[in-house]
Amino acid sequence: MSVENAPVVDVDEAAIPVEKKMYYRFESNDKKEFRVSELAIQQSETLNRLVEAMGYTSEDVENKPAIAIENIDGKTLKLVFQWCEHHKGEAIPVDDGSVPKIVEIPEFDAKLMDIDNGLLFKLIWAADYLNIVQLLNVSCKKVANMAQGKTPAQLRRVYLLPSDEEDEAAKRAAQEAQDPRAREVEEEFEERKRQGGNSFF
Amino acid sequence: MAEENRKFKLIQLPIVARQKLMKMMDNVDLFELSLCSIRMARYVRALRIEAERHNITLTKGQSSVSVHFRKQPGAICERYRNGPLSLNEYYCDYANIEAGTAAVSKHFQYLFNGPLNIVICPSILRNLDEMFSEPELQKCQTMEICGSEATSKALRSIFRNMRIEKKLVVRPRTNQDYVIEQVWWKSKSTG
Repeated sequence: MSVENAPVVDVDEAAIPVEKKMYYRFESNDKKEFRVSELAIQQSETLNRLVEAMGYTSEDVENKPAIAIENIDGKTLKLVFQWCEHHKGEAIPVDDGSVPKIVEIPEFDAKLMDIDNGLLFKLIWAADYLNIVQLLNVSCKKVANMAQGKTPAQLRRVYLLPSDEEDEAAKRAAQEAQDPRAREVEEEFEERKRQGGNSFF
Repeated sequence: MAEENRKFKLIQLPIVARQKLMKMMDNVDLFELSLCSIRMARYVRALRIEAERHNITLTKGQSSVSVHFRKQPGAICERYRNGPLSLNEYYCDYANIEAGTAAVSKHFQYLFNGPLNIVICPSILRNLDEMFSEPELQKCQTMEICGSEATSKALRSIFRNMRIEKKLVVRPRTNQDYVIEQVWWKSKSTG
């Protein structure tokens, strides 16, 4: 049937029940609460699956305690949900493990990520934990761009990279922490060697 | 802003996020990152970025080691002689050019897997034994030997353990008869 021939029916708009927008309540690990729309939550695969599994109604959302997100603080979660609300309804890239080489950072995202590197680190961590593919893409791209044209010495400072010696010392410390007796045995062995004994026994 | 907050703790990111972030870097920046520590070189290698080809050129007019990529235009190149450098080219100075070449090519090959092409002029090189004793330089896709007369000693240094996969070009005459055994090996193995 063509569009011109389609039957025209007058509709009383007031009679149509308006579907109430569904919101969910989340709580950060520092007890800050956020109300986030259902559509925005779809940007996070982790949260989307969580709310689907919970099967909350609007009444449940109001009556039950907010959903706790234990690993993320309020400051970071605020940025995450701001991003999700701004990008709600947008297509979600398929997470097939591939990495887009060209990632455009939209103006809104650039402003949102105009934060110190400590908070940017937490934002990437949260995007990874909550599986928000596009937020992870843009935030990673911002940090990847920080490497452009830098020397190894500059990169060490920007990314706080330990030197080989520091890595070695950390490895030794971790081994010792795992087995505190190891150092004592080593010292005892060295002491015996100094005293001229070849055998430990 | 506190000093701590200006820095980004790359190595403390979860592995998926860290690898995604590093894969978004240009290859030349990954190369720079690999020079920061053994751990960072290992992280870059773990990204499994394929090189289209590695080139070693040691001739009278040019001394360079380079790595070329399909997905990104240009190459990362280390050169051993002064002159104007283009983008992504580095100048380095080794007292022993053969050892330097081997060290740089080994590092490139460690980071970015790909076939190696070699063009050398043995008559201008003194430490071929040292260079071709490195396992990473004992297998290549193509090899071209150019320049003036190559001594059998030089050829022995090159071909003692060499495996060439596709093409071998030997332009200069040798002062003695020299049998390139690996070519016979190759012919036999391919029937």
